[in-house]
Amino acid sequence: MQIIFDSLVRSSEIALLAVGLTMVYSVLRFPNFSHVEFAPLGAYLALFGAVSVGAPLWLSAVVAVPLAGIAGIATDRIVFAKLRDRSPIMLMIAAFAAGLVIRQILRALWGPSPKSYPIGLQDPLAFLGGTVTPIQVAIILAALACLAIFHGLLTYTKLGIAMRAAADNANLAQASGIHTERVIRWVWFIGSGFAGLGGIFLGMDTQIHPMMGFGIIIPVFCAAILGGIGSPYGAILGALVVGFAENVGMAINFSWLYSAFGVANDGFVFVPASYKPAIPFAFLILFLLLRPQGLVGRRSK
Amino acid sequence: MSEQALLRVDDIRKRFGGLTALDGVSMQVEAGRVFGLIGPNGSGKTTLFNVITGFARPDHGQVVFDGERIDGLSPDKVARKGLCRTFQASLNPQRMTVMENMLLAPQNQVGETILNTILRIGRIREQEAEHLERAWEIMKLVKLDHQADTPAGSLSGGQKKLLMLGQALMLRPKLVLLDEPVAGVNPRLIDDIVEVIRKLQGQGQNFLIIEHNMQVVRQLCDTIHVLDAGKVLASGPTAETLQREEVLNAYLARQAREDA
Amino acid sequence: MIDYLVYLLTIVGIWGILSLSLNLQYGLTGLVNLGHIAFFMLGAYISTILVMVVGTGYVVGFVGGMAAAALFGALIALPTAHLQQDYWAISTLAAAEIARLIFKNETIGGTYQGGPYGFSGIPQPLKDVLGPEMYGWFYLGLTLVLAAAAYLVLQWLLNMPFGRALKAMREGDDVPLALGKNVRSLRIRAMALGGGVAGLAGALYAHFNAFIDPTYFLPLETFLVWAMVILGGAGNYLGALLGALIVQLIYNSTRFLTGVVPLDADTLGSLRMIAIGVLIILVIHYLPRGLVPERPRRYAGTARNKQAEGGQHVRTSPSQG
Repeated sequence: MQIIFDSLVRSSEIALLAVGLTMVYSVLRFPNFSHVEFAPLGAYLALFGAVSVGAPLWLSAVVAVPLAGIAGIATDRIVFAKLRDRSPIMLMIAAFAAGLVIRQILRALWGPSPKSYPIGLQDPLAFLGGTVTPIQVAIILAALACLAIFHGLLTYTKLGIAMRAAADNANLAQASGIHTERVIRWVWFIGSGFAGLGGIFLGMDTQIHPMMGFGIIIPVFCAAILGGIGSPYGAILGALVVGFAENVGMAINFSWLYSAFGVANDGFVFVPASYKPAIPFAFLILFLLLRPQGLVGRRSK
Repeated sequence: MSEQALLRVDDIRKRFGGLTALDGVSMQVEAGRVFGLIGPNGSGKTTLFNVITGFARPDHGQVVFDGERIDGLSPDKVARKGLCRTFQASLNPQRMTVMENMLLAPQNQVGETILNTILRIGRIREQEAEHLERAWEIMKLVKLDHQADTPAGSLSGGQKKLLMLGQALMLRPKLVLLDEPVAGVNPRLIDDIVEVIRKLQGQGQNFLIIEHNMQVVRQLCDTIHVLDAGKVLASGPTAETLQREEVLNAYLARQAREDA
Repeated sequence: MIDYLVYLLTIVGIWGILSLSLNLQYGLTGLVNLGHIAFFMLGAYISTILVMVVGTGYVVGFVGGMAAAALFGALIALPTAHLQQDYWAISTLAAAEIARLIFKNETIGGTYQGGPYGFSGIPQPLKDVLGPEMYGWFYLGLTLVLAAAAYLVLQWLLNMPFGRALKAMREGDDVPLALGKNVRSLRIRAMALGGGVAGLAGALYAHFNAFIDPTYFLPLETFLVWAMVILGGAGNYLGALLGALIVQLIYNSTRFLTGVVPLDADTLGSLRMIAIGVLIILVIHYLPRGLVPERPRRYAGTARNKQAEGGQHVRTSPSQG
């Protein structure tokens, strides 16, 4: 049961980032390595509000998220707008560079050591056989709420439909009169905003430090690719898979496997904790080798 | 007098998702004549080329070249067996010069293995010299000899087509499949190309050509196969086949559909 | 001051070799490897382990490191035909990180070597004989000689049919396949060769620095190599070397700024990375071909006498005389 809680929290954080990433990836056709850096950006902005300005955390968060969104639009204007017709490789490298710059600016301003939000230690609540802190519950619920709102946006608003069309096939969308640049701006705003929110949650759940974004880049990409680039619902599904895989993978006792091969063991064979980050990496590689088109969505070539 | 078919295609079927591109195509190409493959847009000609040359796998049927089954082989293996093709779009490496493109073409270059560049440097230089000479001659033929150092990307559309033809000729294949060799080419050049192909055919080079330009088809092709909606509609000597009713209807019907 | 220059030039030489290897893989063959630093890492670690733990000589160490890196290169080249370019790029990032995690977690039993502590006290060739000062010069010489050798070998291959075939693959597989080139085999060879050269740089670094640990091989380091190649000019080996020089100069410049500029070391560290990042973005915008553009071979003067001597030439060339 504990596994389920841990996985849900993790998945929520990943999902917020993966949804934005998958949209930008499919609309602009390149893997945006700078996307994950909006997570620490949002986290630090909220921290600034809570600690330096003294505002309540929830208010800082509410202000930080759209600021992250605006930062996303700015990044697009400065770095990517002039490169619309270039090869995806160049865009990829530019994204890497942009991500580096953002990360290092944050590091220069706030320093390399980890920081925490002023929320104090929380008493974990016992619930259905596992423990979970109120913050974690808040994270899961808030993520659900945001994703539900996003779903509503995608399904019922003109903008949402335009976004989905652009994600599916940018050329076709432009041909049918959808103003692509406007859609791109919104995709960046929502995507980066969500990333910022995910970063705030991550910061509340663990700590805030400049390498936060980079630490989560592979799980996020894994989730987005698993779900099929261009499909936000697939990204959510992918985030669940990755979140669960990380925690479940740590809990599996591989003793039976060792015994099957005749290798002596003491009955407890687990993946060492230090290899936990490797799980999404390995997952990603395996998945790309076996099914690159994703579980849900289709990547239009 | 029955000639051994150089290339034989038996009952090829190919679907892409819900679309049937080739619906049981059978035909053959014999040595000694220039063969043409014509048909309205979308009839499956390029798909057939792709299947024959290994760029696509047929769902059903076989391709036999020079007595050997080649369907399902990777494209480079097919090319090494002596069956080469050009592309409809200008796909030549744009950043390489014309001469580099030409020198790229010949097969069995000793210098393509790392070890050999050390061990067999003499032979490599010999081959390079041979290929260089041949490249110059072919480039003169296709009127690209003044563009030797021009990047392929800077050529005009027609010149790019000529470069592709030149590359194919460097290979000395048993059979060359040309995909619309004169589309987008300057009309003055078209006559030259036709003449070149005829000459080469006289020297024993075999061709199968996709073309839309009916004048060129008449001038160049001895025998044609007509493809429509993924099936062979008619085959035979050019002039005669072009006059057959079903062929005319196919083109008119397609025209009507396009006009609607 | 001189000592520092010797040190700096050696570093430039080592990273120059790295830059050459990426130029082979990306500039020439068009392969986008985001985990390039893994080759460097394998060269460094394997050579260290061979020399320090297994007790072999330096040459064996170097060769072993190069071989391990080359093998890794061949391995990750295997799925390239199968995957789109950007998916493959992401996988290489993941593969490199997994390799790094393995080195981070596995220690050599019974010692404090390996694992998160890295390896310290790595043996350095001829250090005892030469003494610390001469050693610096010796190593600089060694590095420059190896860098020159790597440059010459790679340049040589570029002018061979091998290099030509690689260049043809840059813009797509269709044409080389249609011309009968075994694209898969060529790619594996390009990755293995590039990997081996990068592994050489790694081995050089390990025995130069006498200390390595997993934090030296983060993806950030891969980005530095990319910066070098893009700045210098993808497709041109001299450009790659120039790029290495410039990037390393910027990277090491903070040493001179501390004390001059009222910022602490940490902040300066971030600033230099920001500078490099901004520089690369500017290069991509305004100077996409890099500082030294690729220069293809010129053939204009090589045509033989145009009046052909009769018709005994090859079949496909009817003379027009």
